[in-house]
Amino acid sequence: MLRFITRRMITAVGVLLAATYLFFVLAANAGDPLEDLRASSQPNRDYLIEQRTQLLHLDVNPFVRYFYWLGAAVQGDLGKDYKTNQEVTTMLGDAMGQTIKLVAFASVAAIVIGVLVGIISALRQYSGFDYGITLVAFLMYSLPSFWVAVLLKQWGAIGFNNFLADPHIPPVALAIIGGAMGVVVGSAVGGEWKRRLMIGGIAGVVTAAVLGFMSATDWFLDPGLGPVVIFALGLAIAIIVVFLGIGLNNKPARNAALTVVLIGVAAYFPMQSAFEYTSGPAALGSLIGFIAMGAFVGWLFGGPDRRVSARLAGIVGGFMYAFLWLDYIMSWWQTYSNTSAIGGRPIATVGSSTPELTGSGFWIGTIDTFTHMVLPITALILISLAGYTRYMRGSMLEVMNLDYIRTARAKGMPERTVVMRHGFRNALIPIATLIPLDLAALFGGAVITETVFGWSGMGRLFVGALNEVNVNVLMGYFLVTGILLLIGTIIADVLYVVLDPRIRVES
Amino acid sequence: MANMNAEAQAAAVGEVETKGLSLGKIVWGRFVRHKAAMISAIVLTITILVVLTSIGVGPIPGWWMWSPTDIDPTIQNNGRPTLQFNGIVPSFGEHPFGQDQIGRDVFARTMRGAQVSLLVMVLMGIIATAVGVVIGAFAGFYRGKLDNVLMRLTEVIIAIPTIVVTAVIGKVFGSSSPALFGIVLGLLLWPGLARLVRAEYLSLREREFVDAARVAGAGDRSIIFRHILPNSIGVVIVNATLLMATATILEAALSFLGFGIQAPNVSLGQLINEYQTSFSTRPWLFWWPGFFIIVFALTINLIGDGLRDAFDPRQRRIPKTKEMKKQAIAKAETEVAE
Repeated sequence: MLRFITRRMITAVGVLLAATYLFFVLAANAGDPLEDLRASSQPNRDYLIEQRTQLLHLDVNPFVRYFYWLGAAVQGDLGKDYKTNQEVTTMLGDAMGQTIKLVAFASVAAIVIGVLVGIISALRQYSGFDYGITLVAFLMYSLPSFWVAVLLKQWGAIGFNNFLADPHIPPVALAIIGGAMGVVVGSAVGGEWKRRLMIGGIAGVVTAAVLGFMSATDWFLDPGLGPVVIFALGLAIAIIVVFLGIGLNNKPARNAALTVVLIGVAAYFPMQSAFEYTSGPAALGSLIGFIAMGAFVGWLFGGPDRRVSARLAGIVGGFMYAFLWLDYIMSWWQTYSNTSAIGGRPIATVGSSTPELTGSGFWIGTIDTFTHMVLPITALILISLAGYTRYMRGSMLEVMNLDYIRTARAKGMPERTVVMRHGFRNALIPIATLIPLDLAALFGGAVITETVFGWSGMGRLFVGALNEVNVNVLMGYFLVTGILLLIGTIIADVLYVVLDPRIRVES
Repeated sequence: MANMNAEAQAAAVGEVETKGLSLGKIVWGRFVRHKAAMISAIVLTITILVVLTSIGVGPIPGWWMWSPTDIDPTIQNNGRPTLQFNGIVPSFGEHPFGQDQIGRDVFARTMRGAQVSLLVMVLMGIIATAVGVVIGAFAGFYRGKLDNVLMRLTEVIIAIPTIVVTAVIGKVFGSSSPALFGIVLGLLLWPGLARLVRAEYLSLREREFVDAARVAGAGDRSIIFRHILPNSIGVVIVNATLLMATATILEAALSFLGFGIQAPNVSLGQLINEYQTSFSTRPWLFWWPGFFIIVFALTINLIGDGLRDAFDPRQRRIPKTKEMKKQAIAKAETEVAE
């Protein structure tokens, strides 16, 4: 294994050298970096041209100029932006931070939703739900991302902001949303028509009722959850987690999960004052504290399979913290929305923060980041969701038709165990090897999404640099993305071997 | 009677293929049964016909009254689309897709954009497929050193994110001519296909029919292109189709960023780029090019999916439970009758 990795690393370095050479020559020919100076009418024009030529070695042929760049790059010097005189390394660092902020959440959400929908679609193969999802996935797959982004800006942001001016959902809209929800849920659950009609109907009515209540109480202007809703949400999560994890018949796990929910609700009022003094690291610390608390409770309830109870209760603990956190941050919403810089139109279409709000505290800052991120993240999720759904569906179908699944069913395993333990885990293997590559590609920035939403991450850095023919910046960008992509490939190969024992490496 | 029923059942499960149909007929039969793919193929054909004939190609005139460069000085109703539906009967009016701010007909401009996008897409697809097949075939057939060199080359190209390298290329070539742009992009999109073709050749070259051809005196080139290639045609066709769908979106994205087709040339992405600022005042300028991009990408993707199913030898379309039940009942009835 070690030999395999070493060998791959050495080839990767060779590939990287060749790719950077190719890219350098291409980038150097992408335009004229002296264009702005040639057109200028400054008296010292010739001197400036001379100076920049010296700085960028423009008098040297690009095929040779590469080695000037390589020589400096090996020593950790990626050069400077010729326009702003900024170090390329600092520019890359800043852009990288912005991109990670944007991409991390979007890709996690896309993977989780995609895997979930893919599995349901595979389990209900050739049903109406399956056909519907397949069609929607193909449609999303074929959408040009810039088109979606502009539409989101227009309808998502401006539409929602207009809605907030008078946040009442008309009854017709309520009926349509409820009906749509009912159809989706009803087609997703399996079984007889009667059962599906009933579940779908309940889901639709509940959705419409909740939205109607929210609309009637002006919830959208001053949102919040409160202990009762947190309890209900916690209960729902506990039931889902225990059902999927081990089955509701398991008494210790069930009781542990319920206890964690109760502890979470009991912590509601103490946590309010605790949150007031929270910042980023402390929030993360208390999240870990909640998970540990849950795991401990699960451990105490014990039973024949302590570790499963501990794990499930830990997950519930994490969710409870998330609800408490969400509730608290919602209490800041009205303050945020009513500041003069926002003026009741919270969803932003451009940029990554409101400059007037810098230094107004952790919570306001977090909300501000959120309102700026929500549109680009939605666009990214919409675009990458389809691929994961299709992939997961195919992978799950393949696994569920294998002999050992039939064996598991034949020996009387409950369907939940067959799907979750035998099917799901093995169907994840191909996805797991896909993820490193996708993540590596995402660090290159979502070029189009960032451009449309004015998010100054890696993608926008690249577009800007290409427009100015800023070879140093382009090369810095390419170096980072290229290295990440190659590392991603190696990780994917290694993961495949680790996860699937049938595959052997030949070194 | 019972015999016929068994046959019908076999037909439903797709087992009649054993009767000695040619591969082409089997694939065609399966493709026709794939409803989404069939509908897509029809929609795509009609769309392409409209796109090509409406404003004509090159010197050949089309049937549409405006050309993309014509300026209608009377901007009616702020240039709103005149396309209307009375029930399902459409009435087109003078400018069905509307007019832009200086009075040009959006329908004609969208058609011109679609023509250019189609040209780029087809060129990209054909060239990427040809290069990918040749490189993959040689790497897989000869193995050893040549394989090593070619595969390192594909890795070099894969190491550069597609949109990045195509943007740089587009900046260099995009402004000159759409055809050149398509050709150059095609030279960069082949690595994925080359890898798949290589894998096919690696396994097919060990089969008996290759030995038989060699004994009969066939040379390397004849074995590669006459004997092995037809056997891997499924992989090639499916991936060439999906490549074209990718190419459509890629061209549009690059032109949108300003690194692809540039004015005075028009393409669907370039039109969206040109008109995106007027979304709030003239949204129709933005709608129609996007609509055509989606039509192309979606239909081609669905056709590719249908082809994949059609070429997949493991494909056995399982009849719906309803059909199975119906057949079981029919069978029981005939048995009782007998």
